[in-house]
This record gives sequence, C-alpha cells and structure tokens, in this order.
Amino acid sequence: MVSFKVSYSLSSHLFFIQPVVTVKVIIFQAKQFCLQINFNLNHACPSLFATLTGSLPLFPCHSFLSCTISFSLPLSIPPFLPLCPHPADIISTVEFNHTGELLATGDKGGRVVIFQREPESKTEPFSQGEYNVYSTFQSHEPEFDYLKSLEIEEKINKIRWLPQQNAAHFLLSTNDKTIKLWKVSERDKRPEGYNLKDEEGRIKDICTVTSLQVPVLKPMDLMVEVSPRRVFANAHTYHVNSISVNSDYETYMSADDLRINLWHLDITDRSFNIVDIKPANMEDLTEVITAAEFHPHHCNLFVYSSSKGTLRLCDMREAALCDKHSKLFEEPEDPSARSFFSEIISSVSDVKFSHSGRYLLTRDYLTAKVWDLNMESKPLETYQVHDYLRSKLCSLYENDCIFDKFECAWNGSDSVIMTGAYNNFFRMFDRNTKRDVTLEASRESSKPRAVLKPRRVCAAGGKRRKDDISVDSLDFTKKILHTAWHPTENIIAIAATNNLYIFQDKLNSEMH
Amino acid sequence: MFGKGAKRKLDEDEEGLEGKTLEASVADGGLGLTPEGLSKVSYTLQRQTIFNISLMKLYSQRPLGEPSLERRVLINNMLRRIQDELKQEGSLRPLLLPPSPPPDDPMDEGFREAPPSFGVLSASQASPTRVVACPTPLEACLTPASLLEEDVGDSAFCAPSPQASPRVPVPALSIDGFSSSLSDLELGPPTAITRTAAANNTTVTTSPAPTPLTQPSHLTPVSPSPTGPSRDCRTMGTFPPLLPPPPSSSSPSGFLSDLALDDVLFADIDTSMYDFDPCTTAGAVGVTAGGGLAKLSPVVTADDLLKSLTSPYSGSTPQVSANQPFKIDLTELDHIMEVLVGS
Repeated sequence: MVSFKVSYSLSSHLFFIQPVVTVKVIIFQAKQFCLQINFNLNHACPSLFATLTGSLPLFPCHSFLSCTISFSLPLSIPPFLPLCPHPADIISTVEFNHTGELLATGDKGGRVVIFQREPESKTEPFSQGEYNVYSTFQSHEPEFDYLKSLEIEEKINKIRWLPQQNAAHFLLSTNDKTIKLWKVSERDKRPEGYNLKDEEGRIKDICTVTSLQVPVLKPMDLMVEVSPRRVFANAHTYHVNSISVNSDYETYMSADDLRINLWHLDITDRSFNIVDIKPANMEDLTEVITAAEFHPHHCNLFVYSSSKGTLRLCDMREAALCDKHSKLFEEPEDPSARSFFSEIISSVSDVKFSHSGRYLLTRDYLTAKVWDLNMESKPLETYQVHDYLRSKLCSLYENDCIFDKFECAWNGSDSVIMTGAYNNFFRMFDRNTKRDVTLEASRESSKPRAVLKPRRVCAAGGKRRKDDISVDSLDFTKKILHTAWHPTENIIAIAATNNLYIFQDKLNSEMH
Repeated sequence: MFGKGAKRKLDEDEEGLEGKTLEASVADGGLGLTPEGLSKVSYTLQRQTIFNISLMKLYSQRPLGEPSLERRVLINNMLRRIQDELKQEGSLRPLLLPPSPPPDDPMDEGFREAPPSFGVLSASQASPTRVVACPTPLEACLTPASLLEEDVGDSAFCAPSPQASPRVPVPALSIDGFSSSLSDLELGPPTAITRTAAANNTTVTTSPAPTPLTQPSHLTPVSPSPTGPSRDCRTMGTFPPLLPPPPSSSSPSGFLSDLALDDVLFADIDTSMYDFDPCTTAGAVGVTAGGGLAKLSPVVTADDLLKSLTSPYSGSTPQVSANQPFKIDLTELDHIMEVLVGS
C-alpha cells in the first residue's frame, strides 16, 4: 500500500495529497549528489484516484508528474504523459534561507512554497537532507492598473529571506510592483480554557460563567502560520527586478528598471531613492538596471548591473543619491567578436556577491564572469556557459530567447559557481581546477540513486561522441533560469519550468 | 547546388540563401559588423533582416501586461545602431536606391541586383524593368512591408484605381529560421505595395484627398476628417512624427523613441502600437520629406521609414539632392501638385 502525506503542491495553493518520491542521483564528477524530488498529485483532480488504481488518467495540465511517480509507486502508469505545465506553475524564483534549513520558491501564479529540510533519521539512511513542503501561501494576486490599462502580474520575481532573529522566519517577496514582508512561524500549542470565550472563540454569555479557571496551553498538531507583516507598495513605476536585504538587518533595497529604492523594514510609507538613471527625456534612454545587490558585510556598499554589461559599485556614504558610482566594472569590447547582438548578449542578467564579499559573479547571455572588487578593467575569470549558441543568435533573437534572464549562484566556499542553460541543462564551474560540467535536471535522466551523468553539447561540425547532444536538438523551451546553492553544504535547488529539483552531494550526506 | 563559398545569384531559392548567408556570417564571428570576408550582399541582407525583426518586435501586439522595458530598450538600441550604420554609409543608398549604382561601392552583381529588400520596391517605380530583374526572394524578408500591407489593406490607404496593377503577385516564400513569425504574415506584400503606390500615382490627378496634406498644419488636427477612412488613417499615422521634428540626426530618431519609449505610449501600448503602424508612419514621414505629394508617390514602405530615420526631416524642401532619380520624381510630383492646388 502506498502511504501519502498531506502536503502542498507547487501546482496550486490548495492542499494536496502528496506521495513523496525520493530519487537519489549522483552527479558532479567525483562528488555525488542524491536527488530528491517531491512530486505532487493534485487532490482536487479526480483523476488522481484513477491513477492510483492503475487506470489511465488523463492528467489535467496543471497536475505534475506522471511517469516519475512510478519510481516508488507500484502503479501502472504510462511511461510518458504529455506534460504541458500551466503557466501559473512555472517557478520564477528559488532561494535558500541563511541556514539552508528552508528553501522558498515563488511561481508565476503568485504563490510561495517553502520547503523544510527534514532532520536526519537513522532508519532511512538517505532521508537526511530531504526537503519537504513546509508551508505554502498566496503572496501576490493579479491586479489591474486602471490608469495605464495594464495588468500587473502576480508572478513572484524575487524572494529574499531575512536573517533569523527569533523563532519565526521572515521573508520578502516581490512581484513587478509590490514588495511584501511575510512572517512564517510555527505553532504547536494552543491555549484552552478561557473564561469568557468558548472553544471556538465566541464570547460566552456572562450569565453562564459560574466559575473561573486558569487557561492552559495544550499541545496540538504543528501548524505553520504565514502572515503578511508589511506591504511596501507604490514606490516603483517600472518592474522590480531585484530585492536585497542589507547586512544591517534593518534596511533593504528594491531595484526596478530605472531606479533603486532603499527601505526600512518597518516603514512602508516611504523609501529613499538611491539610484535613478531615468533620463529627463525618455527618448534618450539606452540603458536599464537589470539587477542589484547589497554587499554581504558592508552595509554601505551595493552593486547594480546594467543592460550594457556594466557593473557599478556604489557607496552610500558618499552621497544620499548614488548617481555617481564608486567603481565601474566593465570589460572592453573585443572588436573581433563584435556583432549586431553584442549589446544584447552582454546585458547582465544577474549579479551576486561572493560570500566573502571579495568577488562578484555576473551572468550574461553566453557567459558567467567572476570579478574581483579590486579590478575594474576586466573580469578575473570568464566561463563559457553555452558558447555553441553564438552562431544561433539571430534565431534566438527572433524567438526572443536572447532576452532570457539566467541567474547564477556561488557555492558555500566561493570555489564553485553554477548557472543554468537550455534543454534543462545547468553548468557548474570549479574555479580552482577550472573544470566544468554540464548536468541535466530532468525526470527521464533522474533514476533513483543514480549518478547524474555529465552531458555534452557538441557544436555543429565538431566531432560527435556517443550521447552528445547536437546544438540543433536543444529544447529552448526547457530553460533553467533559477538556481540556488545551500549556503554551507553542497545542496543545490534547480527550478526547471514547473519542477523543482534538489540535488545533494551524496558523499556529504554519507559523512553525516 | 553550390559548393561552400561558391557565388550564388540572388534569385536562387531563398531558403538556401538565407541559411547560408547567415551561417557564413556567423562563421566569422557571428554576424560581424565588419563586412570583410562577408559579401556585402549577405551583410546588408542580414542587417535588413535584423532590422525587420526588430521592428516587428517593437510593434507586435503584446498581451495586456506591461512589456519588459529592458527588452524594448535593447531592441531600440539595435535599431538605432543599424540606423547609425546606414547613416554612416551615406545611406539611403541601399534603400531608396535606384538604377544608378553608387559609385563608391565595389560590388558584385548580386548586390546591384539586390539592394536589399526595400530597394526593390523603390526601384520598381523608377525603372520597372529592374523589378523584373529583381529576384523575389528578397522580398520575403520584408517584415515591415508585410505589416504595411495588412494595414494598407484594411485602411483603404491604397487606392481607388484597381487597373493599375501591372505586376503579378510574388510567390510566398518562407525563410528558414525566421519562419515562425514572418511566415505568419502574408507574404508577397511588396507587390501589393508597389501596386498601391502606382495606383496612387495614377490617381493623383483625380483624387482631391492628398491636397490638404500639402500643408502640414492640416495634418495636426486630430478631428477625423469626413472624407473617409483613408484620410483618417493618415492623420492618425501622422501626428507623432510630425509634431516636433527631431532636433538633429545625432539624437535618437523621434520616430523610434516616440514609438518605443515614450511614457505615454508605455501607458497604453496595446492600442497605440496598433494604430501606429510603421507603414502609416512611413507614409506620413514621406509627406514631410517629399514636400507633400511625396507621400503618395514613392512607395510607402519601410524605406521611407528608414529614410526618415536616417535623414533629418527637412520640412517641405526636400534635401534629396543626393538622390537624383528620387528628386526628379519629386519635382514632377510637386509640379502636379502645384497644378492641382493652384486650380
């Protein structure tokens, strides 16, 4: 018999019955990662039961999974059912909290799902490090701007955790316009025996109160409560692309296409504009802000990237309005590589400070670059993510893929970087050994306890080895834009359209 | 077929051509901006293709949501860049150009035959024989023209006299790699447009409609004139480019930025973009450049548009001296116009 957990699903904010499927997969050269996937069956969909009894269900678009369930469930499920993810289920951001215990994802439907790492259990050797759904809530709703006659999407653009200061966790989530602060707290006791209220909280008729008692706290099932604490609205005319919590733990900034605002976490009715690149005449606009982040240790420093491929480091001690940068990081254009698309592919899609604060990691369309804060003239290291696309830029421009915004991540020790690519591939680069690997996050390739095999894409005309993928067969609809690395351990979270993959270093987990 | 690197004539089948030129260019550094090692033809062809795609992207209807500013800025920069390049080349040449080959261009047969895309159209008016020589394939990449054609069709911009359609429709061709969006559009529009222009030409003498258009001041009033849909359409198309002529050629063109980056347009991009088709704009631009009738005379295509981009508007005195055949054309038309207006 199959056991189910009542849990949530990414595909909806309703409750779901969720069979937790655990698949172990080993990846990354000598290191081994195990994979755990949480698959959800939509409880609201009647076909679930059909599925479980083994008949052929016609899955609705938004219920995930089909074949993969068969990993652990002895069900006769067809090996493949066409999957067309509902747009609302597409994961739009992934973020670990500062301890790595929690992992939050946001999706296009405005939902936030929080996963919690299970404590190690002795009976199941592989259970350590598994992330299960902890809580889910609707963070943003679709809105309509009546003045502009435009819809404001509910899509969660970014999530940032606040450093934990008490038992509760706090996180910021943002869509295009509005940032919200959420409190995530647990409750496992409830008070009972009020004198003036009954169990449901209704006020008792005073006449019926004949004796007084002391209310007591009774244990109850663990409940995770999520409540909105602050709403920071109406400060952004353009789309918010980044939020970043400052190391002073009191302020944070939010960046849109043309401006960056500084907020105090407790104050919602005013913010300070610290960067404004909006030209007096919008006709002169040639550059936008693409990402921004605070320095991890110095609360006065932050960096923002632009669509022209530059990074600007600003110091808030110099002026209230940081229109003048302290440092400008820019790589001179190689004239031999110039093309019509030079500017577009140099647009920085993500910028991340290393944990040490010494380096910056940026991602543009074809490369990932590591910059040293002490060297503005060129990047310290440049890694080709998918150079074979250089010959396809015209097509990628035509189908808009060239505007995809890939994110990037550092590992805990700043020695490895990771970023996504197409065809459900993601890339890791070891900065010390200069080795790199391409891995695939897909259900087909993820067998229980199997090694994630390095993948290779051969450029057109190159020698093709067995199992190589040709550039022409890459699926550009399967893109890994959002990735996150556990702050201390080798656990990574990969968002592949509507699926979340969590890979774990297997050696690491065996050591524990 | 041809071996690698073999010279091909342009009237060869389009798929091979497009694919190969793109790839060839790609081989030397990805659509290198420097045309060395690349035949001038394929380079200009690419540029034109990219230009067309970019225009398409800017004007295509988007869903209700606010479009990404970053994307639009990047596309706009691309257009500006190509525009600057054209300007530097002394330009208009490959676009409006005409029978006499520009002297400075050491070109091969192919280039002459195929002043990329738009050249075909304008050339068609100056010398109809050229049109015949001009291969159809190129026209397949005329995105803005296709857009134009749609609009022209609806708005009755084209003309009352159906008898003036000397040419056969161009067979539809799809370009490999760009098929998705481009092939959705009706192909073979260039023919239609030329026909339109021709029709307009022939009807000029009879149609009173263009008369008020000679005075730009008549264009600004927003109130739709009762004369009919064609006028409406024009006035709509006209106002933005006409209002303040862009200060100088070095500044980003008013056209692009008006369309793409104006705050007001941000507000209701869906409707305005729709009304505001490149074609009508192009037509309107023609008015300023050509001193009135020019609007109707030269083919209303993206090369007008391009021209408007590359040359600063010059009120009613056409500064077309660089462009001999065009000028002749204009003066003729001006003359006709004078006669019309005077009478």
